[in-house]
Formats: sequence, C-alpha cells, structure tokens
Amino acid sequence: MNGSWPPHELPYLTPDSCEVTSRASRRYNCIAWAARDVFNNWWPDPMGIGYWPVGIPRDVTVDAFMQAYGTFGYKLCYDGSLEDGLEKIAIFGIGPEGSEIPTHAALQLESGEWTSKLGPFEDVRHTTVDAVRGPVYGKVVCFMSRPRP
Amino acid sequence: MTMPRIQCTIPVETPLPVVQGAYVLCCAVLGGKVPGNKLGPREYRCTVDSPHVTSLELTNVVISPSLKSPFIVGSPAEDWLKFQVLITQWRNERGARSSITETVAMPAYQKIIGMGEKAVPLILAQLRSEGDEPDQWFWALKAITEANPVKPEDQGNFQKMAQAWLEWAEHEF
Repeated sequence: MNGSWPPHELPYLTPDSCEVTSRASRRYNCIAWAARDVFNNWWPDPMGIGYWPVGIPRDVTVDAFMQAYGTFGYKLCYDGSLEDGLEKIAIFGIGPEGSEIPTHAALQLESGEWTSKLGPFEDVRHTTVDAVRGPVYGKVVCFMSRPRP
Repeated sequence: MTMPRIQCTIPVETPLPVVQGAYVLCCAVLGGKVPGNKLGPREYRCTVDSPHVTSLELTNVVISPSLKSPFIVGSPAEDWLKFQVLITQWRNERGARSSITETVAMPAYQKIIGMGEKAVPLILAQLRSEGDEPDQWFWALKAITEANPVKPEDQGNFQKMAQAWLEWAEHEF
C-alpha cells in the first residue's frame, strides 16, 4: 500500500524506512494517535476546535504538549532508545532551539519501531523516529516515557 | 418560447478536477443536453439549447476562473467555483500538517473565511458531502457565523462537530 502524503514533505520516509498501516483519515491526527486516540483531533487552538485535555493550557508550545501527555502518565526522558517496560513518545517541533513550535508526535512500538499519523493521511510504522523529520515536522524536540500499559 | 443559448469555453489549463466537476454540473443543470465539439487541445466548447434553463441556471453555467470570453457569470457559480479552487489550494498547502492553528492561517483558508456569509452554505454543503470523514471547516464556520453549536465534550471529534453544525444549519437555513 502506498501512502498519499506529498513525498517532498517527508523526504526520509521511503519504502525501506516505513510501512503504511491504515487508510487515510481526517478523524484523528498525530497528536491523538500518539495518545492512542483514533476518534479525535487534538490541538490546543484558541478557538476550541481541537480536543485538548481539560486543565492544560491551550497554547501551541512544547511545554503545553508535554503537560497534555503528562496527563497520561508520560514524563520527560533522555532519549528514544527502546527500554524494557517503557512506552515512549517523541514530540517534534520546528523553529529556533528552545522555542520550537510543536508539529508532530510519534509513538514507540514494543519492537522499538515508531508509529506516526501523517496529518490527514495514513498511519505509518517507521523504523527510526527520525524518519519523519523534515521540512514540515522539523525534528524531535523531546522524548517522554511511561510504564508500558 | 425563446430558447436561451449558452456557450461555455473552458480553458483546460484550469485545474482539471474543478473544471471537470463544474462541467458536469453545467451539463446536469441544463437537463443533460450537452455539448460539445472539441475545438483544439486547449479548449472545449459547449453549446446548449434548452427550454428548461432559467436565468438562475444560466448563471450556473460559466465555470472557469480564468474565463476570458464575455459570458454571463452569476455570483452563485463564481462563489462555488472560487470555493472549490480554494479547497484544493488549501489541501495542497496543508499537506501532512496536523496543526489546526497553522492550517487555518494558510492563505486559501483565510480567503474562504474572507468570503464571509456567502461561504457558509458552501461550507455546509462541503461538510455534508464529506460524510463520516469531515474536514476541518469548523474554524471557518465559527469565525464567520459567530455561532458555536458544538458541545464542549465533542471538541476534536470532527464527526460529532459536523453533525452539530449540520443540525444547526437546519434551523438557520
């Protein structure tokens, strides 16, 4: 199955580095997918369009995203290496170091591979977390982990 | 009875899906009496005679944003075409982005909001046509109408949000 995203936006996603694992859908986005939610689009927009955990600031900042995932038990961790008993997510951002704007989130699978929802397109399993870096998502800003459910 | 005579010239350099969709609509509106002799590689001509064409239908005939010919162009058709072109532009601009704040700030989406109240029935029709995969039209609807029929607990669930807006539309239109 081929993905329908624009290849130039995700130049490191190749047939060797990823596998499409769903059909395209607008029902949920990457931030929701990393939280295992396939019914909502998560985003802290000021207009109240996206879902956002109650009590977490509706700010498009890495800190607000970390707080949002923190409501699911995630805590900041050092890297994205596979660790026994831990489930990890990566938050991507773009912009000057230290003030990146969040763009994307990916979830680590038990195999050590990663899974991402690509905007309104498909979910993919990618071999490395960096496979979705690029001009649209930027790069990993931080990793978070929690005990694997 | 005078038979209205309509001619459409559709440059093929116009985005093809839009032109094809509009052309089909044009033909459908005119009762299936269609066209056309191909005039060359760059344009087609559609000439239709029909007793069923009203002046409103006439305005729905001309469909090219880059039309240079002196045809009658009514605002409903222009608005519909403009909206369709902007949807295509916006989706191309959006690409794989998930950010609601970033995607609504894109020029094409802002132009849809800039169409004002005349965009509302077009957005609602689009929302209805998207079925259980509604796109993110909620920001535009909220910005234009200043209404908010979505329950707080349904924020982010685009299916429920679409349903709320379509129910709202039944009361408002």
